[in-house]
Amino acid sequence: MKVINGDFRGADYMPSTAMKPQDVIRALFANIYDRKNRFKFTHRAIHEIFYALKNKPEYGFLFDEFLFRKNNIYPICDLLDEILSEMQLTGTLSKMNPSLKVKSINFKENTTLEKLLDTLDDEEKERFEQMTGDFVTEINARKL
Amino acid sequence: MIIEDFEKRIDAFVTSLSENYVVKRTGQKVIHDAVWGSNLYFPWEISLLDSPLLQRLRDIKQTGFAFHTYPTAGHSRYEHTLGVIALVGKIANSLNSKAKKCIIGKTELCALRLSGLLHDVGHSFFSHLTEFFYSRLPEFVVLEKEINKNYERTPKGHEILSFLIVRSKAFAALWNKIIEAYSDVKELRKIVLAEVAGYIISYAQAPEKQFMADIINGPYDVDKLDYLARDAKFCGFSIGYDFERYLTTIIIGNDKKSNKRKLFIPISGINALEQIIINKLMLYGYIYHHQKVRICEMMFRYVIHLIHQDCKNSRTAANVISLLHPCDFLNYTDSDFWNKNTLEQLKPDKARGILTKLVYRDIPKRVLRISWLFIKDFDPDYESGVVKARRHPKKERVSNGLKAFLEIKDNWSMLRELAQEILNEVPDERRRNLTPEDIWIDIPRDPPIKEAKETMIPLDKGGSHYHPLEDFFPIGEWVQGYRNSKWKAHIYTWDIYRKAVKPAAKSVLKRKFDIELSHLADF
Repeated sequence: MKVINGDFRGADYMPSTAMKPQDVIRALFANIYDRKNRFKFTHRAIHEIFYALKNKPEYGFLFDEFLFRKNNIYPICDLLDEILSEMQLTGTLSKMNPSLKVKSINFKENTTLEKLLDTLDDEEKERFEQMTGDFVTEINARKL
Repeated sequence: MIIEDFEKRIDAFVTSLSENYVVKRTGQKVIHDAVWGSNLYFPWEISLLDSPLLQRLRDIKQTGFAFHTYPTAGHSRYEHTLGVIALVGKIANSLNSKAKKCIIGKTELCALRLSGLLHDVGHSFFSHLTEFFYSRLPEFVVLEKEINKNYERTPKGHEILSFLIVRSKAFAALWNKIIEAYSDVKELRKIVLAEVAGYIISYAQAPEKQFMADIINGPYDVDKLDYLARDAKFCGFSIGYDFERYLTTIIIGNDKKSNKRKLFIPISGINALEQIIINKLMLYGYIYHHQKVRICEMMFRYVIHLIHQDCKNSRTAANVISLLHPCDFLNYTDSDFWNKNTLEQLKPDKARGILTKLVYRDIPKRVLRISWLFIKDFDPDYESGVVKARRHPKKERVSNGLKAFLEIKDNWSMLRELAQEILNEVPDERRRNLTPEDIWIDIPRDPPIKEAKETMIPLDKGGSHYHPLEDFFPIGEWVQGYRNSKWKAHIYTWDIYRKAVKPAAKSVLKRKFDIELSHLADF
């Protein structure tokens, strides 16, 4: 299975059932959602973490569509921004008071997680879980 | 491979416009502009501006179909280009006057101005409207990945085409003619076209020159400074930003970690930065996402989609407009669509019909507005700030519904399916000749206000400490709050069908997406 950039580019040239980049992000967030211990992130942190994950060959199949630019002082992916922004628009993500700088997940999107897991084979599922673990480790290390 | 294919096509395009162009030596010229006043242009810039490659920009409107809503918004990419060159000059002067030694020498200045002059040369008809289409074609998606792999940048479609044009052999030949005509100007020979092209995609090979790329393509670049002022002025809005403050506060800073010299705005310039961001946001609400502008753009995008499909199926160039490959889009400018010949001969018939309506501004009317604000039982809770503007008793269900609704944006076949479902909901006696293609569903993207999130403010001259702009002012939250209330999807139809389509659309949205709209959605 390869993640295809669907809604954001080339939408008319792909099957509607194909896995899309936003599904990866939404499924990841659903997988790590914890009502009591909500994880938080800043713009810089999330882009740096996903950049590091993309550069790990074992996760390439998940992040191939995420293109990063390096003209700022940290790598930035416009597609990731677009996905996070849309998640804010639909209410899945919100910013937290009082700083308004960090974002947090509001609720778990089970359907997206199930959809992603359904399309992955056993080895890919294992890698997805491993990637989730790496993500959590990185987020926790930043102590936001 | 893909880059070579594009290079070949781009080379043919530039050759067709420049091989017969005779460069005539001229003097420097003052050009008077409605936005930036009177500005001086170098003689070789005039010669290049006079070439067909740049003159075609006169016939490409800067703001797509905004002119159907704001009749004075007929300003072109050519005018914008002139503004950008003038601003490059002003910024270079400001940076040089503040530094102890000259930062931008004459050769660098000529290169930077040249980059500004050429930054939009890759635009096709109706600017971003067509860019949105061709940059989603499979060939272009592959090209973007190649460019990203080679340069670690994610330029927009027209920036990639501009980049390839400036790097083409045919452009080098045109540039050589300019150099020959101005052989006494030694700086011109020192200009490296690859560098000029790189700045357009925000790339500088040498990290110490990244600030030059930032001037042309960065969070607060000359492109943005000009279009914010120009689009507002020509659409009739009295909004602006403090350009003088911007000029006097910008600095070049060294980032120790990345070893880059970048263009920064220090704490003292935050006011100007806030104005720029808020202005951009307002222009999205007033112009780019205006419901009338959106429906015109949607109709035109559908025309392009139909022409592209027709070309793909017939594989011939028999159509009066032939759009198969992304580079084909460069062959046309606005008036190629706005003329009698096209209106009589364009294929397929459906595309011709829609284009004809569009030309005479016979456009569908809005039936429904869709956003959180218009969802039944939504409680905005403004007193505690926009951050809590997500209160709804069935928040998760509504969120999932909106997510599913947003997923069909940009996908004609899924939008058509939804239109068909709405049609099926209309009672037989009220349908008359209504077809799915009379129902238009527009789901805009969230406006990209990158500057609010990624702008870093330097805290020291040593280049070690940067803080995001949001540490000083929650501008990102303002942006989010503003767009949450301004973002709207729309459903349109022709005037005679409005009464029939409105209840049908509401019913389908509720059944299919769990989106139950309040009476506010009707207005």
